[in-house]
Amino acid sequence: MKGAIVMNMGLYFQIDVVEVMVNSLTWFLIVYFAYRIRKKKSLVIPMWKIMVVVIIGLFSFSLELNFFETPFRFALLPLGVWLLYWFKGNKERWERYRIFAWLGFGANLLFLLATLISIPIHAGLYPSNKPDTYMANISKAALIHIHPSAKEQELDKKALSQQLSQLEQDTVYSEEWHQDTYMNADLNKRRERFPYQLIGVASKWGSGLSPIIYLEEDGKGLLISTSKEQYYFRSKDSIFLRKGE
Amino acid sequence: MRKKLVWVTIGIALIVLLFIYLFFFSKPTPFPTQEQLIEEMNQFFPEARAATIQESISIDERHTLVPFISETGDYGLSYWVWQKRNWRVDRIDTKGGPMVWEINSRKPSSYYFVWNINPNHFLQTIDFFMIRERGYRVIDGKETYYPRIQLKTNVSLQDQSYGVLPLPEDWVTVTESFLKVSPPAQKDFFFNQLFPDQHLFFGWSAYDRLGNVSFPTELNGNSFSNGKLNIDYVLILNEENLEQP
Repeated sequence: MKGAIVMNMGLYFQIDVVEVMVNSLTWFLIVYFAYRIRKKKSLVIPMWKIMVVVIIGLFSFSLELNFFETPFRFALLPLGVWLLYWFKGNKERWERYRIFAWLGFGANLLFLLATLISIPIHAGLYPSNKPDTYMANISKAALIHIHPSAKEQELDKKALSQQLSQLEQDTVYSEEWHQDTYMNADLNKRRERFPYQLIGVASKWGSGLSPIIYLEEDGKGLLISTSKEQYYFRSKDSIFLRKGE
Repeated sequence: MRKKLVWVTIGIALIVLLFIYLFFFSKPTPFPTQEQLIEEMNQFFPEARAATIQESISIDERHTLVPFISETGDYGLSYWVWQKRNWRVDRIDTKGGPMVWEINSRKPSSYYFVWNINPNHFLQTIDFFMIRERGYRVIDGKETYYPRIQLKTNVSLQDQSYGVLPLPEDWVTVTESFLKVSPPAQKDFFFNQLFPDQHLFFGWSAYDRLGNVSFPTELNGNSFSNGKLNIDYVLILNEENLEQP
């Protein structure tokens, strides 16, 4: 079940190396457990049949809850085990396979633990408060004007790379920014505080992050939007190309 | 005997594969003649009462837009797709107010504005927009600010009542960044939620010869679709819906 999700993500999202590693490790453990049980009970069932039973056993009715902005799947009803019992054939066959069906269901717990373990590892490798987690490679960086109030500005990549290490994190003043925009009495004349989007920026390899990065009108503020949270960084100098340069 | 059986099996498998290939992946045949198109359209949706085909605009090898005029003088659109070894009409709009045809929902570079507007409305130009409303959110002390996105492009209706326009490059980039950042809970493609959370939408406004905003009231016709296509509506925008710098 989990494997399918990872494959889906591969089409679309950057690879989350931590997730891939932890999941591979979990699958390795499952195969290892199956192998040990088979050996201990001296069963002569081929491994591939055992793995089919394990994978069907994984299938469950589960509850997905979000903690730390991460979805956790709690397996509640062993649908796969029931399905296998339904098609068990004779009793002796079920006796032989039963433990592997339950191993499959139990593997849901392993995946839950894997998710839990991956959070601190990911946070350690890719700290969320460090700008270079989101902007590891800026060689193809460019600006898009996303609002009519954007000025004809170009990105100064050199300035951006110089500023990167000196960016300081600040609070996302969401409500204030929103209200500031509407201070202007004129109904249609509006300036967007973040009228530029910074594109062509690669996040740190293996982080699995593909944030949206907005640039403030003064060229000094970066608002980084991930699927989980927003981060706001300020630089001392503008990263716009100075006019005449 | 055994060997013979194997060869027969391989032979059958190859023939089946060949048929599947021919059925699903074959190169499209030439597009049907105008008479055939009209006949099929009126069969698919009798209310369309198609009388004249204006043009067959090939969007790609397997997708063609056919603007048409009805017996009653309405300017409509029909959407044709090559599938199962046939050119089939999947949707008809009796009046061709702008729509966005998403050939492949996951690929914004395959989104097209399509329109066919009755010249009797005396529209000169159309502005197309892609907008995301400004907003903010404070949940559990986590602040999120969504800058307003307002992108604009422009087409002329002077020479032709109809047209096809791919999303401009910047729009594609912005839309892609939205697709990539979608939160983990919404990675499930079964729901096919294109713009989760803070969504992007398309809009348009039209101008007459003098440059005044003009919206023909009778642009809403009927549509008939077999539900296979992904079509986005394009909302009519007034001055109040748009921001000026």
